[in-house]
Amino acid sequence: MNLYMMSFALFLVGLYGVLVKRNIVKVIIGTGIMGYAVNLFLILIAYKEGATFPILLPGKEQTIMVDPLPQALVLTSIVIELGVTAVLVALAINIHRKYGTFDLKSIRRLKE
Amino acid sequence: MPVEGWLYFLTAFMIFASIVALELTDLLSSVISVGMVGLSVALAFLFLQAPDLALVQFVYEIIAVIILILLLKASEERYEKVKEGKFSYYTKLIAILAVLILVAPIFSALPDFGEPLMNVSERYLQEGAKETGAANLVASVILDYRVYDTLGEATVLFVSILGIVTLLRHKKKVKHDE
Amino acid sequence: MNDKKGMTLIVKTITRFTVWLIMLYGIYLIAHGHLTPGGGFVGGLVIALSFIHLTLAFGKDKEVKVPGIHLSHSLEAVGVLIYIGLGIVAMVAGLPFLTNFIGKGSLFDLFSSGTIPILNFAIALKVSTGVFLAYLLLVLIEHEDEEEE
Repeated sequence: MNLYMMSFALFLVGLYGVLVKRNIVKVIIGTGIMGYAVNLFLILIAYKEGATFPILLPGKEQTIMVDPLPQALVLTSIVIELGVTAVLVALAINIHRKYGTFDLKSIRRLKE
Repeated sequence: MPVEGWLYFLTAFMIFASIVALELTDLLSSVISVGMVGLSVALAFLFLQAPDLALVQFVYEIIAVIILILLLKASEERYEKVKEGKFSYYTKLIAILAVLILVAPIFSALPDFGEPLMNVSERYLQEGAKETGAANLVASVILDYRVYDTLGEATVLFVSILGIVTLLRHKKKVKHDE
Repeated sequence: MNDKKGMTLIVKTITRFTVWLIMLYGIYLIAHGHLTPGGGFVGGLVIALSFIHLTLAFGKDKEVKVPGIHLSHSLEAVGVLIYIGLGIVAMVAGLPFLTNFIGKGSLFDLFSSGTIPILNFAIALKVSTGVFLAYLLLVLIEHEDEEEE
């Protein structure tokens, strides 16, 4: 099987966590797994056969290097994912303060 | 062992660990399993010749596990109490499998693994050291060629921290009407 | 829970040594961001981790001084203002917004490559105080019936 399809399968495992599970902590874990899968896919696209990392060192001569542009994009994406996870955790704490449970189905019924 | 063999092994381990993380009833153990998935992603970044990203992923993973354990401590819940019903579970599972089967042929249109299309990156690699004077070419891309996107990212982080400060404010006065 | 007094004596003694090592590594990653792997993002996160390490080991001890909520909030805004201020300085000089207008220097020098080290410092200031502020707010949830500063 292709490596790209396996990273897509990891994305679908995260999607299963968001759609099917009833506990809020599992939903947050699902969004985290989706983020890992997308970052891995972007770096898999940028790999070049037999190349080295894109940093110039004093002793190294200029050889073939991997693509630096997706690495810059994924660097941005990982740090934004940190902010999103922190906001989701703050929302979960507020929901637990008001309703007393983490169960999504009974929270939807209460609706005060 | 070539790089592709290591990557197949790591991705299979990631899929297995994430399924384990979503199916356990003990919430603390599932948070630790997500930590294992993140560390495997950092190891995969090392195999794919991206040392900058391996550092960022490793440190982000530690902070994410700390924040999730703080969530569990502030709410004092340890176990998942209810399970989902059979009808909704099976219909959603079939929908996700249908997505996998229908989208899989699209991946043959991507370039092969190991031969990227470097349209713009050729210029960044050849001229980057001369035009910016930095030896780290990834830093020259995020702080000289694409510096406006980094400003956008700083803004997103700033707004999310503002959101947390608003959501987690201390309640100074008692609610006078229910 | 013994949250007021922190952890045991062994943890407190070892923390006195390791906190400075972690902070020194973070400063190294920020300062050499344009020469080796690193940069502002990793350096900021590592410095935030050193503050979290100190807070976890010592609890609410009065003699350990970490930045509080108001100081962290102000420092985060200062970091973003330095970033934007550098762009406006470039605009005043007649070039487009956020151009690299300082002289480039020679390769592999510590003081080379224009505005990149200054932007690294601004980003590190913002990320470290932001993440530490998020941690402080999440920790103070269970002490909300006591007097806070």
